[in-house]
Amino acid sequence: MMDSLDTNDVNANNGHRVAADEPLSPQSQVFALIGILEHKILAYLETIDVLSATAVNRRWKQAGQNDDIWKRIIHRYWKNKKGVSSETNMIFWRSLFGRQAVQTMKQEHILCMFCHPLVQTKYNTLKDEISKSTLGEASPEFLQRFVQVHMLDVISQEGTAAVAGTRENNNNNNDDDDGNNNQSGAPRIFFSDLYFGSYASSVMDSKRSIITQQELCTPFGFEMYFKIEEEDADDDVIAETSDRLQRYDDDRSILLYKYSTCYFRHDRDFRLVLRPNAVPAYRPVDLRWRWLRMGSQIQVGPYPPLFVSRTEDWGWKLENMHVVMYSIDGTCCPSLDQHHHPAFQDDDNNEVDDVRRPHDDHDVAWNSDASSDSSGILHDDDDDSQDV
Amino acid sequence: MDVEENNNNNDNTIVKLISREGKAFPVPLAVATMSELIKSMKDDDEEDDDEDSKPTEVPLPNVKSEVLEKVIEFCQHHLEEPMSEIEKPLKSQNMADVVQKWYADFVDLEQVLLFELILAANYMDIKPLLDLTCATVASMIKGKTPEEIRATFNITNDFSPEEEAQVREENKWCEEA
Repeated sequence: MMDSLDTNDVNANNGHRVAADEPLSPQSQVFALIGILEHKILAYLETIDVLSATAVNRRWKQAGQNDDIWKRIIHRYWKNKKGVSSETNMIFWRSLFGRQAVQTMKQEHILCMFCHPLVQTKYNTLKDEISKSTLGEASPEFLQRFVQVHMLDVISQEGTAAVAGTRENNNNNNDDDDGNNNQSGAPRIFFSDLYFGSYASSVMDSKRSIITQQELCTPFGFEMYFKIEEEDADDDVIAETSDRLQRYDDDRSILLYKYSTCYFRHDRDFRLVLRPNAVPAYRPVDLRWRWLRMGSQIQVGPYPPLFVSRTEDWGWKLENMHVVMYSIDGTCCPSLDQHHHPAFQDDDNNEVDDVRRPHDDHDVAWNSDASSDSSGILHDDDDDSQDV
Repeated sequence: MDVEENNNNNDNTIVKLISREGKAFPVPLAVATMSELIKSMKDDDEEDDDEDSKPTEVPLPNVKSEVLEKVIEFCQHHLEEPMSEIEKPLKSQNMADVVQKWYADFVDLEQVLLFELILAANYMDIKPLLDLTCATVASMIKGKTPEEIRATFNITNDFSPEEEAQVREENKWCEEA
């Protein structure tokens, strides 16, 4: 329209020409701008596209593995998954972190690794080791740092073993692992970015089908269901117990009847905790469990073997022809408050036991030390006094 | 110009935006201050605003006329029909599915111009324009392999073979089941 063309005082032009001797394309300029690629462009993409972006070149890899992107992805993707928490700043407790990632960890990250119930035990062992070692004379800060770094090594080793387990399994019945003859099975990667590494490690770990004893003997226990053929089920029973019945996904004619919570203990005790009005009131006593195949097959008492597998939500499933057991989520503690933090409590402190008893409606006594009176396998209604 | 009646807040103050080539683009103040850069400049010299009729000149030596013209077109339209928030992650490769038609048509541009708009939006600090243009680039990445992304934007692969193998290894584990 009426754009006036005053070209009088534009002396900036010359200066620009000199600099523009070898002009970068606008594309290169945009991608080189710190922040635009990672916070503005990749923020609009889903995980798979962000992953493609990281494989474009060095700059894109740096942008694509940016913490904020993966924090967001974790927040979205970890929702409703077991064993993880999508809370802000959460990182995966079995992450395969390299030195670089460890060095960028802040207190809150370390805390959230420590607060995983399965990590706590190891942490205590480590604490003992250190107190016995010559490091005893070092400053508390140094000690804490040592614990943190050493702790992460322990976790990394576990993660490595976990991945090895996954590999082994994949190779048995899966041929898409083309030409990978990495015999050791251990991964050669240790992630250098916290959140990308955390996410990658969690997905990796969710594909592991070998359960560790720590995980089997979780203080949170398993939800146990009996399988019922729909046609065999009494209408009255169905009506009466409808709140406890659900369909078994794989087979429409099978119903699952929610029976009890059960616990595998390190001392090989198997405990069932019946709900107050459980039907049938079947009460096996003195049940012991054992590995038939380490990590993949378990036998409880005289019953048929339970086979181990994973669920979509990253939980564990133990199953035979009669029963199905689903792991109860033992996620990280929601609070990162150090003072109430189990990782910083002593072993014999009562608060630890409080944390280990997440389900108040069940009267299980989870005391791995004292209460090993094997007579009381079922404490469904008379042991209120015994907990803690 | 035909925008006066839209802005009752800032009477009819006109600001002249000067492109790199020195071309002046007179625009209403409301349009110009969509740019946080210009807004902060205006705030700074508020006090010596003596209401004389001579429009303030804003030199934008980083922005070419061709680009500035598009920027102004965007800002003018945004005052009439504000752009809706673009949902993350993008649910479609087609911009018409994620933003109003006018905006989808607006970014249907040659790639070089699109990227110059990003640079301008970044420099002038115009958030909705930066969102729109960056989302457009994201839509061009969506669904592509790394090779296709390089081809699309003419990017050189500067990975060493080892680095490339490492990325492949890392990413292999991330693919969601």
